[in-house]
Amino acid sequence: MSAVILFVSFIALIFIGVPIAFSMGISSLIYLLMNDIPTIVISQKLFSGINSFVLLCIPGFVLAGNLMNTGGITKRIIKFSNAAIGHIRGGLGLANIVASMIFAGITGTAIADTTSLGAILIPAMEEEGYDVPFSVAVTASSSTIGPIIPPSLPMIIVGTLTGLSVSKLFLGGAIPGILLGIFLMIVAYIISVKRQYPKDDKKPFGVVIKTFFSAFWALMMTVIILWGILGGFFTPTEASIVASLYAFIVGKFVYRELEWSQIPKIILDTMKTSSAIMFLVGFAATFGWILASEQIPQLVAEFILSISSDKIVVLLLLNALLLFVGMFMETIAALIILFPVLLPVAVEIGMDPIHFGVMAVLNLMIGLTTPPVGVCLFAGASIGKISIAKATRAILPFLAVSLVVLMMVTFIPQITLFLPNLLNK
Amino acid sequence: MKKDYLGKVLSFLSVVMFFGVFFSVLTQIVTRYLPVSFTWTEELSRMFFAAAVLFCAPVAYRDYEFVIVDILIDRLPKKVRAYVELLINMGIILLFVNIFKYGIDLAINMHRQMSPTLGVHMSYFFALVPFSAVCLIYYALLNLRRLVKELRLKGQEVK
Repeated sequence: MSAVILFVSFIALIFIGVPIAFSMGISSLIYLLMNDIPTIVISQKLFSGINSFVLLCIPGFVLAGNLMNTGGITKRIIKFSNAAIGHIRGGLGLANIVASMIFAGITGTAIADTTSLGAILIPAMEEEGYDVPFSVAVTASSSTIGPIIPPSLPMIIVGTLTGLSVSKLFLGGAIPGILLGIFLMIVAYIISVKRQYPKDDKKPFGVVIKTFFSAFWALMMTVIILWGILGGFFTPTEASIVASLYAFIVGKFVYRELEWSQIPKIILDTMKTSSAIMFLVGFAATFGWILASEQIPQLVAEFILSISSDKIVVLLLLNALLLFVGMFMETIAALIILFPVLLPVAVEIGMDPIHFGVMAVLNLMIGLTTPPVGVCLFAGASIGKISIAKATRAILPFLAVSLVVLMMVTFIPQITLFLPNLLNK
Repeated sequence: MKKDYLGKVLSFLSVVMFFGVFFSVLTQIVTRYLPVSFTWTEELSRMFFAAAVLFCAPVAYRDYEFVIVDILIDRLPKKVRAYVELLINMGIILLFVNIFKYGIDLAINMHRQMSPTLGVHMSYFFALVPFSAVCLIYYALLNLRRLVKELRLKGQEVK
């Protein structure tokens, strides 16, 4: 009964507009008071949630993204992508997706991708004659590739929660991420041909090479980060700080677009975003603790397995549940609460935990572009100054193809496990 | 609007603490390949990070950086919305009064415990929780004051 009150109060608080982090805190407080459990738990868990070495990758990756925007790195990635494939019909839309895939190799969060690339590309696409809802849909849906292609913040969280190897999770996301990018490009191309969206003149090879060299330092960032993590030179958490340092050096000394005076504001913005996320993590720790003590994970597992023990049905149920939750809940909070709940179910039906981790993150990412809490969709719509309804209609074909990729990832484990298995050999 | 000195101090401290995180993590990576390796870098970076977060959270709250679901609240009439916001801020104050009270208890309970590698009193570290809570309460109270003013003005307009 008290678990029901926990959920009902949590959902009610979210819908009246209480920040999600505080909704967790307040509903946990109500639960603890009702059950005569000392409320000191909240302060304890908040502190232990924040006091985490692994999660200091959050400000690291956010800072890297912010420095890339101010330091001119983002701009050059876009220019290179456009020079390479802009001559195809709907080229700027396709370049948007390619830029997202490159950007994905650096930042690790989807919302950073939407806002950074969207701020430049949505207005640029509008100027070239693309419909704004289409531009918003391309930007938002492709930004969800960010946390699937490594490095990835959600995968680090999954690794922290379960003790799974973060390097393997990273590798597991690589092929699904690239696959998603290719599928999104196919949809964007088909729509572009139908609507006769513009194409650029084919750039001479020399120009492509020139933009490549201009973006070279930006592209090297992905290489350095992945080489460092997979080669064991630094941990994923440390990689985020290396990424920031690299973005700073390139922005300041190579591209020379970064001013010293901009640094404190960039760091403060980074910390504001990060502390909001960390408080969410801190309160989610209490919430998760209550769920565990109420044995909700076991109940959910039993419930799902009681519906069917057929692998295909259970996989579909898991996907449906994750997608549903992803539509409502912030990714990190959803992972902290849900992942430990669902992992035993996945293992029970013989799924590899790495496979499940990648599938879960993909689900939650797709949730970022679906209303009512699709933050990427919201961010894109607000940059393009269009209504959520318009953005939603435009995103439907992209959403459909994302679901196709999700099904492929779910039912063909090799897509995820091929690269991590190489690491075992 | 009056200048927010508290916000300025908190922002400054948070940025300084972040520099601490940045350099202690870099030291950790670099010293791994040197004959001298420091065991305390992990703990130090964690402390800097927690401090940076706790200093910045009230500022993040002031600047509406916490994610909310606004589909419902945006559609409410202005007056109803102000009442709902009043309620939300009161709920948040309640939550953080609890965190403040027990945060102090935790800090006091920890007075004998030292951090493993740096030997810092954990009390100082834990005391940042009630400090952050009280700053957040301050901003929630400012919100309450603004909302009450708004509602009063609305009341006068109706008359």
